[in-house]
Amino acid sequence: MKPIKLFIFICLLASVSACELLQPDDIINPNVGEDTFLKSPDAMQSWVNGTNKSFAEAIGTFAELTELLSDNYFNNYTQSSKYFDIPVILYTDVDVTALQRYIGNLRESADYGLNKVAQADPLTTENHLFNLYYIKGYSYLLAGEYFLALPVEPGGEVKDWRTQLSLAVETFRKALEYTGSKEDQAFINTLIARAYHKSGDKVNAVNYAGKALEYSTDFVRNVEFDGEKGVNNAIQTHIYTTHFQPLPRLDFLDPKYFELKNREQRPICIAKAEELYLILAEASLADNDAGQAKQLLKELLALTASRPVETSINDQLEGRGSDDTRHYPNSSAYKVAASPGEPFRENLVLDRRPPHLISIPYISGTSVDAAMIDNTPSVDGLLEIVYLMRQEIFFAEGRRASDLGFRLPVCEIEAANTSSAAPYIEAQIPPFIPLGQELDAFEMDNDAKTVVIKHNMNKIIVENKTSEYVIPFF
Amino acid sequence: MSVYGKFGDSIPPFHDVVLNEVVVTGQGAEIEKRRLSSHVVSIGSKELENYNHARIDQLLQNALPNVQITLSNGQPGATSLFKARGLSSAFSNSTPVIYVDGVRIDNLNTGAALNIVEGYYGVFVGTTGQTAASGAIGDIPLENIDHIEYVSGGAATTLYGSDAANGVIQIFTKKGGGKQSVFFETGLGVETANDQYYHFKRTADLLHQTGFVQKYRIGFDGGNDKVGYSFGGNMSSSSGTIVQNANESKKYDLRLGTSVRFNKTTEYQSSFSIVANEFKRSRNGNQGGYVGLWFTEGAAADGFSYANRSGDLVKYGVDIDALDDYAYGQMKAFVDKAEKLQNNKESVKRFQTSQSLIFKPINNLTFKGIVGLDYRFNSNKNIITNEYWIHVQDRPAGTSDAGSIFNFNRNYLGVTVDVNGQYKWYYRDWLSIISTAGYQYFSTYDHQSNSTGNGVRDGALIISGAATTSANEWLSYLYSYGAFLQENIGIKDRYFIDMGLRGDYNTAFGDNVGRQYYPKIGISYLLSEESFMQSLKQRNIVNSLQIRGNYGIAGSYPPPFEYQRTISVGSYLNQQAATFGKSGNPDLAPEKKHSYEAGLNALLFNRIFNLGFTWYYALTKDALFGIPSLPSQGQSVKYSENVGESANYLANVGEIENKGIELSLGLQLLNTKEWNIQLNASYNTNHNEVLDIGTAVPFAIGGFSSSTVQTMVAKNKPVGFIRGSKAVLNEDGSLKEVLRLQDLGSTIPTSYGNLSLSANYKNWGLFVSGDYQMGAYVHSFDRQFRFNKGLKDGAIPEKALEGTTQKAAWLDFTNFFVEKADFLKIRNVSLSYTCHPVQYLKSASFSISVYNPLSFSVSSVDPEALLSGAYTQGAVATGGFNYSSYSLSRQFIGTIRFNF
Repeated sequence: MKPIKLFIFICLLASVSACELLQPDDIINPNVGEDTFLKSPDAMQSWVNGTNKSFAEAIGTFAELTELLSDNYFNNYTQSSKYFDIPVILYTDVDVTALQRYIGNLRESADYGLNKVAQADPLTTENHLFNLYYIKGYSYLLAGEYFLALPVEPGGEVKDWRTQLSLAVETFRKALEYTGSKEDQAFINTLIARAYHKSGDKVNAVNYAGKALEYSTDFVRNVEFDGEKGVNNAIQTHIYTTHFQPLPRLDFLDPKYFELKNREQRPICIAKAEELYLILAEASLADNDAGQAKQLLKELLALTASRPVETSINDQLEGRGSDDTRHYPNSSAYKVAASPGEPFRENLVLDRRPPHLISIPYISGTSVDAAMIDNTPSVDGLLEIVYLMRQEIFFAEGRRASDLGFRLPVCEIEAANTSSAAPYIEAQIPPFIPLGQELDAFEMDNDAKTVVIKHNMNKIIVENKTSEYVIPFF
Repeated sequence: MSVYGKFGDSIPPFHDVVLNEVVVTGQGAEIEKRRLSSHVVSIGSKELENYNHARIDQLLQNALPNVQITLSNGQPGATSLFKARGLSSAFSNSTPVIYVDGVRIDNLNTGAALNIVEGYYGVFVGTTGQTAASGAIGDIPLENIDHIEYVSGGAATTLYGSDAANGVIQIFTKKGGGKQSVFFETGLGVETANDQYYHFKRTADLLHQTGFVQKYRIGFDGGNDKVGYSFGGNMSSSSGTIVQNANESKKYDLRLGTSVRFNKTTEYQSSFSIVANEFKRSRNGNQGGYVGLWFTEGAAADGFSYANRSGDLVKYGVDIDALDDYAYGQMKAFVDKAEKLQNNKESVKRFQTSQSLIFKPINNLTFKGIVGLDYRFNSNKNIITNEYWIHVQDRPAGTSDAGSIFNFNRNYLGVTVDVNGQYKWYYRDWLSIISTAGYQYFSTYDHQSNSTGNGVRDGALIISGAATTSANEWLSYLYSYGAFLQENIGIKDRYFIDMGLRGDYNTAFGDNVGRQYYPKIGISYLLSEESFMQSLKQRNIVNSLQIRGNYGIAGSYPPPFEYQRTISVGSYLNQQAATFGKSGNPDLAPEKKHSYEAGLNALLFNRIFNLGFTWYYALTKDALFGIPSLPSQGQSVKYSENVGESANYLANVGEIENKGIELSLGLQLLNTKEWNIQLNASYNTNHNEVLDIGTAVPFAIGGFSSSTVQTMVAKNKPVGFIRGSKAVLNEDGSLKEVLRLQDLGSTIPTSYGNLSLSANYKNWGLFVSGDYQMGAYVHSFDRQFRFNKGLKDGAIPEKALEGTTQKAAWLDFTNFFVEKADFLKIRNVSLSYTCHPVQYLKSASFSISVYNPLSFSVSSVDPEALLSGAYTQGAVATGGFNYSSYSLSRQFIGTIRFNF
């Protein structure tokens, strides 16, 4: 071999390893794969926190959409549901699908934690299991309160709302096995009482409400948000701006969620001791015991009065109506009647315009006072007060539409997969619900400073108390 | 239109010459057009000069006879919509793959995954296509182009494998080598908003200004038979048509091409280009709060207050034309300041290069190797001050902690390595075989990050010092490997058989999916070469006639990592928060477009009449659909901060059909020593239908919620039809019923085409071009908003609203707000004069051009001023929603050019 050829040959040989530099690296998914996650330390803590986050978002969205469905809020804006306000509920509506997705997501997230993550992570604690069980139970509770029927496993057949409620009770009982804390006991027993209340089981509801009160007479349990991380309270945006407007007689409770500093996202209450008194009072009235009911309602008033009030909320940008939108009362000079012919009540509307700051009871507030309770002799009258207090105390928490008897259908995507959904694709809107946006309708006289609301829904549901839709104990 | 290919607007050449024109795109290596069973369009540099637009999509808009290209709206950098033979995917964007000198470049034509446009209070609308999104098409450098080739997706792109179901655009740059020449060009002019579609007379006055446009270009090339060089540079700017220069833009680009012939067998070519681009964005689309056009045309002004003469705060109301002078003065000052206080700026730096070595060891054997890359860095900075929030009445006076700064960065790197060899074998006059084989590798690497600072003091331009900061990162990359073989067999130089096979593998395929194969077969028949045609040929009735037909498969690969099941890890209450991520799909494979076509090309009547005709039928099998998962499966519900994790999963379940014809005509009306007049026109039809959606229910690919209006995919409907409520009226105008979720019209035109007229008389030249469409529909949300806000709409009788209000019933009448989107638009009229004033000056030319001068449409709104669409990065976009979107502006530009 000639020297030059040898030289070239050696050069080539020496450069063979250059191929390595030109070879592409392996493709590795930059996101966390399932196996990697399960093998990583503290997987359970991270999963429970993630499930709590999903839970908070679910509660926020349920509040946003179901408050529109009810008489509590009217949507003056072009974002969020335009149909729920009418109310029109279609099984093709993405909002129906979204609510259903939240329920499926909570249940599956909890199950994944309980079955897969718990097995993989030796650091799983009882507290983790407690947390996951109550979220799973809550998913059944939401299904039982708001849907006609839903599957309880991926792609499964649908189960009606009564089954959902009994699954909720069963799962909450399971949660109780993993906690000793009094606060937790009160919390879970309240949720069980709530599930029994919705299913009309008075005995068990009273029983569990009593149990809960033994553990705590003033507990509050919230879901927390994290505005800095974009975990937002879905209803807060709408009620703190002019998008959603409250029924004028509930003006003094709005906005329950607000910003004291930028990006603050306020918590939403998912259980509190007030509910126990409301359940017990309704049960007393069902037993025709007005005296007992009055006693309970007064105890409830005391509890409500003890709840904190935020006194420095700046809501001055709230326009309360413009040329095209509905005009809402914007000063305390307005008096409000719950329906035509009913007496005007004062102090229901706040002064929001500059320089006023407003005060909002952000856990519970009510316009009911002891005199109202004392001066109401009849069971029906007291029942109306119970439902007014339910409306006010649970305001903006996503509870009202269920009290009005609404039930959502199985959404189109799920229904296409299971024939068992066929009977449940039409929403349940009780026949006494006024349509055509009348739920939120009122007439305002700017000169006389009066507002007359078109329908007093508390009165209407009491009138229909024996129907299958409302007031479960009657 | 360019039946004449490279020869541009010069005198049409002999058809034989055209058929012998050599093309590359879709063929692996150079091959003559006569041998091809598919139609390759090529456009020469002279013709490109005629169109003279600043963006490749605008440039090609009237130049490609069979492709419809529309800019989604008039904001700088906005994405565009490509429709060629309909839409072959209901998942992937329809933009063709783009190559520059054989190197695949970034063709992103949707918003980027993390370039989040925050709407009202954390509603991310940018990544759902509800604003004017910016992609990567607007900044492809256009200097120094020699010619552009285009082939549509199907058999013509089979050799690109899983990458080119939407067709291929290939740009070839100049490498010099001829006589030395230098040119310098200056263009100055103005830009005005197209206000013909505004409902309110005052909208234009409130929002628009006359912008100043300047363009400067310089270029030189030259060389000898061994060395060639060619350089082109451009800088341009416009102050934009929105008040306070809220849309101003600047662009610089340059490109250098060189070639060196080492010896008889070896040649080296290279090209480099650099681009710097910068533009500002004004709030638009569904961003909510204060948005200039929504405030005016959407009647949202009603939600804003001003202090009246007595100092009371009152609302502006819905009808801005009805305001008195005082109120209007207040409004004008309000809008002016609201635009001024916005500060949203995007910038792009881009570098491309292609290096190729051509080796011809013996006659008829050629090897070519290409290595190249496209690097694109795109950033966005959106500064929202407390002053802005207070001014737009979103925060109370005195707010000091609501200021925020959003930063977005995207790094894209695409690398291409292409090696191929071609051998030509001839047996006497009657057999010729051209064998081509090649290997192609490309990678795309797309790395994005964003960071947000909240609680920023006014005046800060960076997030340092923000009260809180957050950040996110996104990475998507893939490799594709492919090899192909092509045989082109010619018999008697008139019968040709064209066969090819590509096999490839892509790392985005699912675990269960292996190598994919794409075959093609076709014929080309030069009928005019037959002896029985010679009498027609001699009489100049038929100058040439080619008949062709083919079948082939082209693919479209899924996005990287989509097949893998993941856990999404976010942050919540200062801890990691793990939730379900992507559900994954190990069977994820490319979509496959099976395409059949047949057609002819003819030059007739003494070369006066030039005809191209193609019939096509394409069936996309295994179409990718982003299917909503069952709610009971429990996938994540909403768009989390980890983009793309939604309740949808990707699967190859669909079938989409496209069929129609493509017709292009060229007429040489006059061709004398003094006169040359050419008219080109095209007419294309498309029938698009989704034949199968598997087990999925109809799903949305654009728009809003099902209760408002969406673009949908459903069985037996075109991709992206508009769905919403339909109010049916009785004869007397009263409301009969409201039908929900109805098909209100397709967003894909049933026919479209373009036209151009080029007339030269002595030193004068006139050029006019335009395009049209028919059979598509557009929804006007601004009109529907005005209806919602209580303004009367002539289309809806009073009687239909009895017992309800416009506010309550506004969404029942959506069908009245979906309008026919037929249009004819003249894009370009230019008049030029060329002379030779002094000896050393080769020529001097003066021209006046008007861009977008005329727009005729059936709809009351601009059918082209739309939200960008595309729910996610790279997703299909069909347009269809006119929603607070600016129309393309009109430009009037005078240009002087000197050639030395």
